[in-house]
Amino acid sequence: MRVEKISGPRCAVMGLIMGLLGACTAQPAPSAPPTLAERGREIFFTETFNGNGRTCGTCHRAEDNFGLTPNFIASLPADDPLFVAEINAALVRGFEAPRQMRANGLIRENLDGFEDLDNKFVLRGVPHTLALRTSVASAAGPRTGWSGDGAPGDGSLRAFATGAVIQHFTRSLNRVAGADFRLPTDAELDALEAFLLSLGRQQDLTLPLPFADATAARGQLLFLDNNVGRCNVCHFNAGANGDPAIFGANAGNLSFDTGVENLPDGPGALLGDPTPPRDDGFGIPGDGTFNTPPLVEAADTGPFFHNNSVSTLEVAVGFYDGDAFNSSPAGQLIRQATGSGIELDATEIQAIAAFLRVINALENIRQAESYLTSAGAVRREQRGERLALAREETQDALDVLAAASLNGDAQGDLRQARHLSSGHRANVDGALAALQRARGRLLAPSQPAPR
Amino acid sequence: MRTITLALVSAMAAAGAAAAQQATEQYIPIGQSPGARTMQGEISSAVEPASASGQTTIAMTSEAAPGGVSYVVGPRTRIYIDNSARGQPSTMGALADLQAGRHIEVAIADAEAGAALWIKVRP
Repeated sequence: MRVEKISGPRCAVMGLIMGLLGACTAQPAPSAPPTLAERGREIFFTETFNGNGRTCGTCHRAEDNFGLTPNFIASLPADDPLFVAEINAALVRGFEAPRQMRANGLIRENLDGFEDLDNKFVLRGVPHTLALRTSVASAAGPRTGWSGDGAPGDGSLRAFATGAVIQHFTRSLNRVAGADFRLPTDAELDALEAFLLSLGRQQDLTLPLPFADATAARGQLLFLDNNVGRCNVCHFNAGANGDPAIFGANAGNLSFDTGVENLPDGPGALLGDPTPPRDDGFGIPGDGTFNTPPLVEAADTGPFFHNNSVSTLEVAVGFYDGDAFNSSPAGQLIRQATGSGIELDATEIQAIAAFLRVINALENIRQAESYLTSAGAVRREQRGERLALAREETQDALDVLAAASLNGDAQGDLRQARHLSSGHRANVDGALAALQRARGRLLAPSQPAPR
Repeated sequence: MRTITLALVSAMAAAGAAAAQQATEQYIPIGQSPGARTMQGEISSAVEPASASGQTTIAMTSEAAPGGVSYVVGPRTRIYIDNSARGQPSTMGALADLQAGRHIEVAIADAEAGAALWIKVRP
């Protein structure tokens, strides 16, 4: 469209003629300026900070629930910036552990210092960045990253990107600001923080919920029972915060040494190239603690724990029945306080996992609805992306339910929702209706079909 | 329930440490640490290691504190040499690097106790 500017006496005449519709300057309708979170999104996915080519989105993939799984890594081309340590000679040694990254999704970090790169490092999975608004705050200050001390400066989520650029974006191991990367500006940090806080859930659930599936309902009871599963003590309402009735109203996110580092035969250790040094968690030297992740998003964001040591949700729940947990400082605390460790039989483990699967699916549905609803309000080039993300969320809901044969009727609705949100002529209203039906089947008691 | 409450609360009471990461802080040039409570200025006099009974302190002058201010340098205070202006990598430092006249930035861990969390010094 050609835009013509009109001015002078001709404009005045035109103004009389056009009345209220007239404008002395004919320009395209102004689009709303991007919000702070939208600017943050742009930075998150495109800004390399003059570094090695990576962006925040290199490891926190939108299409992989803002995390990074080994399966997703296997789908990437060889020249993806994730693999910069395999390509860039300056980063070949001491920057990543490529075999551990490809096999186990592990990223190299130097949380205790950079002075001995060959020996002083840890290998950690990529935590998703969903529901951060609910999971960072604690009475002792913000807790970021797996061990709660992921951000330099004031340790806040806002400051996190500065540390990430230094650790992961550098062109060389000298890590000189202005040469190997540039540090984010204050405006960029503001925008990134706004974007991160916009992702996923904005508030915690309120349990209990009325589940249709008996196994999930039983799992919820076990989860909430402070004498059996005891999960709710640290994962209050399946989130990332401690039970306020136990830890105080403002306890927020808590850190524990749960003994994950003592698990035998972890995938990283079995691969052994390199053998992961012991991860000492929070602080320098570390105290062995790691902060509590939210569980609503757990079922579709495995592998689990800070070192990706467990690949399935059921085994992650079963961890708390094992020796590694029950002999850990956190496990001993439970034993000391209640007289016994956590003991769960196979069916109880399965039930708790079923509960986590269903609440994950409900969150997938909520998020898919959000993407579908917003698809109509964004620019055309963003519409396809929103629809794709809605399909990803719907597929995740299907996967977490199907893997444990849960709520088969809801799975049918989810398949329909996925189909209706596909293609150039996506039926957004139809997809939303199918998602709503799926939610109803997950929550409402199942009724026998009419004769 | 009461038992578990008391035991867990007392256990958590010890977990109130500052949460900022120290490793990457080393590579952030003076004045650019996001959100950190810091003071910049010049070292007034060379820092002497404390006697067995005393504390090691660093005295500095600053525009924000023209009369001078001092901070406790404890065993956990990390000292970084900021070489970024020369395009060189920053390194870990020691008390001997805190020489009079050098430009420094001090992050304050505990305002009441005046304890330094870290000190960055320009060589």
